[in-house]
Amino acid sequence: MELIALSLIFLFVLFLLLGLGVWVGLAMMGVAWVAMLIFTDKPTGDAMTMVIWSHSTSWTLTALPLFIWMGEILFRTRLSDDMFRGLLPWLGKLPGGLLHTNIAGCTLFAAISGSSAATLTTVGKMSIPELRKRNYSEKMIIGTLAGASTLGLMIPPSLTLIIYGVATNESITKLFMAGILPGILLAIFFMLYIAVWSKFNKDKAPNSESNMTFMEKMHESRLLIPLLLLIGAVIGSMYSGLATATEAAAIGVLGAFALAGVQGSITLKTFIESLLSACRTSAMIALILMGASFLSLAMGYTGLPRAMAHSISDLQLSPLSLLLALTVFYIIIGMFLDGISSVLLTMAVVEPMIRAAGIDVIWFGIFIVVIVEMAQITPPVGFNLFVLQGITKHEMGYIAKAALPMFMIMLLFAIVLIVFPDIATFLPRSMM
Amino acid sequence: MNARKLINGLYKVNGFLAALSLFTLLLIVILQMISRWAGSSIPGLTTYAGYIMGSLSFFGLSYAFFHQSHIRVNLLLDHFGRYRKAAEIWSSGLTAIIAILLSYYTIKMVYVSYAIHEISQAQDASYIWIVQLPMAFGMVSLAIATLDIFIKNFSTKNEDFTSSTTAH
Repeated sequence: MELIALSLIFLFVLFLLLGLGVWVGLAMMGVAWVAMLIFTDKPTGDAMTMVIWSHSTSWTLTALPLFIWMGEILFRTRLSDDMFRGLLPWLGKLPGGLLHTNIAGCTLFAAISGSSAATLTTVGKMSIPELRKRNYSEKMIIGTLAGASTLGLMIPPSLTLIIYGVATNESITKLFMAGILPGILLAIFFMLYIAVWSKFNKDKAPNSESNMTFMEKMHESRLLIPLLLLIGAVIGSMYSGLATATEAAAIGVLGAFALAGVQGSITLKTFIESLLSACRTSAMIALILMGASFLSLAMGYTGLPRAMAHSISDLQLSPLSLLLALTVFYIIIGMFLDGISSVLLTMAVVEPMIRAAGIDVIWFGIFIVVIVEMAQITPPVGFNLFVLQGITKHEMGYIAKAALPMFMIMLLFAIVLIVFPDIATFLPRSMM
Repeated sequence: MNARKLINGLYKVNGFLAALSLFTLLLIVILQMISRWAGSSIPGLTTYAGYIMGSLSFFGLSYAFFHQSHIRVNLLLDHFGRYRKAAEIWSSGLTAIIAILLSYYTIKMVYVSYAIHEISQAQDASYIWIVQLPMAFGMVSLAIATLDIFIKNFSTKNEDFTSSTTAH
């Protein structure tokens, strides 16, 4: 069958380039170049630069560097310190004790940061030493952190959702809104797991020492106020329609400056560092986006996406079995690529398929984020595992094993999301 | 060595221009937000924001390359053992070829825009070649950065190649 032969050729070229370490964005351009040579007489190079030019200068993309910058500024403040101290008095008495600071901390930080690696580093550098000091189970400290940090990709702002929105031409604001409830629910799943686990491992989860009065607790959590205000301003301005995603990101940058200014942690040096660091990260993503824009143009000429979409509808494949197939597919790709690359690499082919199967594209955005999140904590290439390895100096295998229960919880969550799609689609519908 | 300094300087200039673009982008977005809340709109502002977004990405490319921020798959390379050097040369060579093609066709695109005096279809009505210049500059710098790595790989010892996958 021609379709299969074609797919094999592309997969081979892709494997040759990606597998041998050609930088991801440029590898995608290489595959696209080969596809264009085979399938069209159009001048390949000119088509490439035109599509890269028009995609790189799009207005929707502007939310990306601004949200990255916001995270970079906050990363250079004492925010994680304040957050930990503010959460401490409330979570100590829950079953599982301060392990919950990992979940709550990641959830809160995810609401101001778009990446799971940033969430992991910021929360981890504070919570790991504190929890170790209190003799919590090492495996649980690492596992819960690995799992919860993936919330950074789901709870808005999320870089993966911005990329998905750009690739599928869907509203980024709607995608952000769709991520809120699933993100919170997943955090609750993690917390339930900690609570249940602590019932069976009482010795490994000491309860907190704190015996503060309610007023003392309130006083400690005043440290959380600036953070909550910032989250409220960013998400609230989008939900109310007062600001677009990009404008909310600009509000976030200003808010981050205000927060850093109040703390006195902003100097000209940290300001420039935050700018440069944000530029590096957004250029890194931009290169992959450039590759993806050319790749999806080239794929259009090959007719492969259309043919795949047709054969999916010819097979009378139910949406459910399509989702199952895609889940396996993305978990496998996610073993080798990071979330953003795997979304961008596949969207040209997958988007027509899900549209043909009648799957809600906003909903699918959240679903795919859950799946690529799972991939972030699976070896051999799980980016959160790398980051944790850097922080804790444990073996990769140990960290992966510690994160395995979280992987199972996320798998369970993916099923819940399929059975109750409203979890994701309710908020975006309600804002219209 | 002077050539070394010059090339590193080029990456830094790119980094500086990218940072400047990001800062300008913030100002444009704020300006637009305020003017919209005030009930007026400044024509062409979103188009300019798009151009600035482009310059940020294009200038950032080589700077990010210099700082090893771009991602690649190291999984197989890490297992190449004594063939590592050959594999690194091969992949950085392919990378450089793609980057050179990219910069060649970008220059061609900008030249064509210039030659036919193409003007933006959007409200801003700027000369396209002017706003496309950052792309040409950024892509040429990227090609230089990839060639830089390619050439460096020849003099790197086999055991000095490390997994430089950075997480994002």
